[in-house]
Amino acid sequence: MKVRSNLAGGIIFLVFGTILMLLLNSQVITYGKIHFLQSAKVLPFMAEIVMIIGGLLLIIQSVVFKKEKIVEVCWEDQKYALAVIGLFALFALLIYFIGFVVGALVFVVLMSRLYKNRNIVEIVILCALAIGIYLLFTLVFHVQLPAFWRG
Amino acid sequence: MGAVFSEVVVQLFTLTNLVYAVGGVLLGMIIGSIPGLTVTLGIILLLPMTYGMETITSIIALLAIYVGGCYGGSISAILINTPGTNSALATTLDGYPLAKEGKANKALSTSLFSSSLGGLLGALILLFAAPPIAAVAMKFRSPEYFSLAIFGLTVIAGVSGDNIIKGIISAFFGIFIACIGLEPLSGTLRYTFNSIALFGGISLLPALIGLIALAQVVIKTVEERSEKMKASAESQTFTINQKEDPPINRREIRSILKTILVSTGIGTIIGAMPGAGGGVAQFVSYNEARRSSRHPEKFGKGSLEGIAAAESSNNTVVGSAMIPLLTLGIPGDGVTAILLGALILHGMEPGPKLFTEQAVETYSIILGLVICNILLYFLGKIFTRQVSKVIRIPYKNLGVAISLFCFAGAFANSGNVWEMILIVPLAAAGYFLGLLGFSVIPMMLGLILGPIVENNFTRSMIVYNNDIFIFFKEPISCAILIIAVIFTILIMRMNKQIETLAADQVDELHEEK
Repeated sequence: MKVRSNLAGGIIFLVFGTILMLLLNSQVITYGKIHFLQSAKVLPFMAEIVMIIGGLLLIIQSVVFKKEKIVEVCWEDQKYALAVIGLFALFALLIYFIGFVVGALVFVVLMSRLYKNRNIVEIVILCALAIGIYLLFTLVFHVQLPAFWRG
Repeated sequence: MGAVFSEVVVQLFTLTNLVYAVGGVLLGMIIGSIPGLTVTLGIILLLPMTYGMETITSIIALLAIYVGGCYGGSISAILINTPGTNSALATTLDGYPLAKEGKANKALSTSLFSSSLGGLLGALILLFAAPPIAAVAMKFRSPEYFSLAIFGLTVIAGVSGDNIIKGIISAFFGIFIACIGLEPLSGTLRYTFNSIALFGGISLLPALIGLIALAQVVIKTVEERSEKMKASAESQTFTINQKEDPPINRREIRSILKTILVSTGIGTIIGAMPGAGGGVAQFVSYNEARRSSRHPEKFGKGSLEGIAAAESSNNTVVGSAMIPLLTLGIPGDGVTAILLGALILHGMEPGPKLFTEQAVETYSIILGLVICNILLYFLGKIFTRQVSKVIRIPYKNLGVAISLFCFAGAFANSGNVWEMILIVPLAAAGYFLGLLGFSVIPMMLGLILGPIVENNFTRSMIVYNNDIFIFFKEPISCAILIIAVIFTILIMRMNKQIETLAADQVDELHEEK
């Protein structure tokens, strides 16, 4: 599938910036008499304005000046990318529910399956690395990590 | 000053610092040598591990990765004709032909010598040039600091890819992300949607991990699946044979010294300019070396001067890019933008005050950079052969390993599970926006510079009674803004010229062959 990246990007940020702009007053509530330029609204407002104007400029570039960068998007590749992102989400949940090391072991096995990696030695090394990372963070660098095992 | 330096000696020359500097340089060499892994990624992955360290130790460890990574990029450039980092692209032009002649060791030793010497000179220039610049910058107030932060955003011009509008949108998207949560000056909540998880905002490190590191895993995984990552079919892989292939000798060293010195000068100027970086410096230096060489016909066929020009300039950039970072708080490129974040995370505030209020830490970091470059030479001599074997690790294993570090690092930031979960949607955003041509580097700059812009803007408005034109009325602030505009135009033009120059040089050299 061919995607017109300037047009698509322009529409996304035009819509996104507009929605955020509409939400500005309800999501950034300032109390008392404070000048807009000193308020907490000014930077989000500037960011939203740039997103809206930038989005519009990208659409104009694409539609009026025909300046476009066509991106070839292969659906099979995107399904694969979504599967990887899905595994990341699963890993985050596994860490939350069953702890870092056990979650990491499950993640390593699932990622190896996705990569079609059947080399047992490589999988075992990656599992050992997961335990190594836990020990490195907690014992060497004294940085807190989720529990080893949340039984 | 004497008291500061004696304190620096005590703080810097410790066994812990030495161990982390050695480890950092080696790790940088490994990361830099693997195509697909970048120095930026290496620093982001190591950053969470530095939380338990002293400030000096942690910044030295991160700088060591930067130094090692710049040289590491040349290892794969020479041995497999694929640069490990963008700044080693010009090294392939002469490094790989030398490897084809069975002189891989000579090419690598030339690269190592040039990288170490260029890096060392760059660090020394930083040591002597930074304090006077900082002394001038001491006179700056909030309008000037606001203008400086805007100046920092000119880097966008250099890292936006093919469309600057996308780069600007990307940077302001980053600024918006930085706005989420509690605003520190007034205590106002912004875009939290009444979710307690968002009250604290989106911390810098999980954002960097999600948008850059984890998104890169997705990109490379998909690329590897499409077999885009594989080296070109014409490329062979060479190994180092130390018996039949001697390293660079003294006569050859003397022949490249002039090239190294000229390239160091070029690297210093380009490195100090926001947005240019090692990628630009290598091609400008390569072109100059070829123009002034007595043997221009050897370029592209295995010229030692060619390797020396590219490698000394890209390592000089490490030191010179630190000049605007430490003195003005302006990052010179993507890597120094992360270092800016790292300095802030470790309680340092880059800018002129660093040289007075945190002088010991600052000079320790600068001298640490000098030491890292000296270490690079010796570690490179000992370990280049071993590191060259790592190049062949398949991405299916690297991707899993990087993901494990990413999740551990995101949790380690604050011990908050929410931040660890948050990196997944950020990775998805980084991946899909990247697909549409929105670079994540400007986004990262927005994330880092956003709070600095806001802080100084609000302070200026309070002090100067909401006078929005104060940034143009104050002469220094106005000058900085004008320079920012000039730099943006200059860098955009320079990047276009470099793209043409790089393409022309590659075509020309292929035709000559």
